[in-house]
This record gives sequence, structure tokens and C-alpha cells, in this order.
Amino acid sequence: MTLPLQLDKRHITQAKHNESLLSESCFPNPCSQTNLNYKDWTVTIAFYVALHYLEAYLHQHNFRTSFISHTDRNDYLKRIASLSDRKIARVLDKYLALYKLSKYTRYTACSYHYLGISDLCDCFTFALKELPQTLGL
Amino acid sequence: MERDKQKTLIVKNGRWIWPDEELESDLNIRFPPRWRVAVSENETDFWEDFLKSRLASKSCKPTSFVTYDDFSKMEHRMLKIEEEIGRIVPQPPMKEIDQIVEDVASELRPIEEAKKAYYSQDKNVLHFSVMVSGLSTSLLERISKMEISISRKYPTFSIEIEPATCDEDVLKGSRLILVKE
Repeated sequence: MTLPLQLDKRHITQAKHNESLLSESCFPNPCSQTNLNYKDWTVTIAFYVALHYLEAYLHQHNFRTSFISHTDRNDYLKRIASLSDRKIARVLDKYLALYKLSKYTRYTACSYHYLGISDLCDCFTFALKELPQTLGL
Repeated sequence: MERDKQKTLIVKNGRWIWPDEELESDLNIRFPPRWRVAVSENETDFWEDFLKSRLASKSCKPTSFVTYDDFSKMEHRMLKIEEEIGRIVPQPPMKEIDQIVEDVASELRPIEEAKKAYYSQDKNVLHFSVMVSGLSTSLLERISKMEISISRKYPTFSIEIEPATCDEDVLKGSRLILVKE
């Protein structure tokens, strides 16, 4: 019988799964390619990679892990960043920036016109490398 | 113990208080009909400080505290409440909101890309839409830092500062709080 993975591992698996979508041909790496048709979805996928890494970290460190909305989660992250958790504090502004950008690209019809390639590369690098590294995942 | 299983606030490490109307009045906060705030060890200080400061300012004491053991007995019933987690809805004095709006506007003023800003409120969430001339990650990080800093200053509020690029993106009924040429 296979035992179910612990919740933090499950979130890491989900982050990696989302990350793998960014290696599909319709989502070329924005740090090395300039011809991107789905900039908006690249941002959104990057955000959901970041979110699952953060959730994994919250589980690993016995923080609260149940949230009713992104706003609820963001408020909580702000609180623990200011109270006790330096790692969260180090990534929080970039995470919130990615959250805002992904929300903007999803709901604003002309959004992708505003995204530069270097911005996309920043999002990509943060979600896939900086964030898990900083959180020690 | 049986007063109302759907109205329980965990305060610290299993210590909890009943959020009755008297307490709402004492703390100057309004509780949603069904709610619970679970507090992990890492954030207990925040809630304790928050409650203490509210209580101190009202010169009163919590109406009921019970021990962790009591909480354990309640755990089965609490699990049902888990599915309906709510949140504290502050009942903020207008003066405090005006101060937050002023803080946000003054922080936005020096940001070149920020051309206009709107404010709206949805329950306990204070929402700011910032009309920007162009989007970049550096601008968004700057806005996020500002949001974190203002949220720290007013910890009982949910504050969101988000970018917009055209007036259509701004919620109807929002209040214009900043205009730059």
C-alpha cells in the first residue's frame, strides 16, 4: 500500500507539476526566448508555482494553512513576515507583486501588451528558483 | 460551554473567548455570524497584542477564558466549524480609514508611473486601484512593499493596492483619491 504524501510534499509536487507546464512548447522560457504568445498565462502559471511552494513552507513550519481567499492568505503572510518569519519577509514583496500581476493579466483584457520580456523573466526566475531556494525547499 | 458552538475565537494555544455582543462592543470589532480564527504558535503574539491593546483601550477584560483542556473537549465540534472559517471584521472608525487613505495617497505621490488612484471598501477590505502608465515588476514590487508597510501600520485592516491601466478597470463607486497631471 502506498502511503499518501505529507501535505507539504503534496504542495511541492503540485508546484513541480505547474512548473512542468512552463517547459511546454507554448510557454517558452522568457529568459531565453522573445517570441511568447502566452505571456499572461506564463505569469499565472508562475504565480501558482510560487503559491504551492509557499503553501509547502507553511505546512513544513506548522503555520496556518487554511485560507478562504488570496486576500486572507496575503494578510496572514504579511502578519507572519512582520512578526517572526524572516524567510517569508524576504520573498513577500515579490510574491505579492506576482500575485497582483497574475490577477491583472487574468482579468484585464489588454493586459499582456504591458508585459516586457524582462519582467516575465523576473517572474519566472522568482517563482521557479528564488522562492524555493529562499524558503529552503 | 454550550452557548454557541459556531461562535468561538481561539486566542492563544487553545485559550479562547466567546465573541458575544458585549465583547464585540468592548473590542470594537464585529464578528461574522459563523466564524473562527485559529491561531498557530507563530502568530499568537499578534492576536494577543491585538486583543490586549483593544481591551486596554476599552479598560475591560475578556468575558471568558478557558484552558486548552476545555478546548480539546470541544475539538470534535470544532472540526465541523473548520469548514466555515471566517475572519474578524473590524468595525473601523472613519477617522482611521481616512488616515490610511491619506497614507496611501502620499506614498503614491512620488511614484512617477502612478497617475491616479481610487479607493473603495468591501467589508473589511480597503481596496486601492492605482492607474499606472505602464506595468513592470519593479513597480509592482514597490507597490507591494508599500502595501506591506501600510498593512503593518494598520494590522487590523486588509489593505490591497493593485494596478490598473484604464478607468474601466476601476470598480464603480470608487473614490478618486489622487490625480496627477
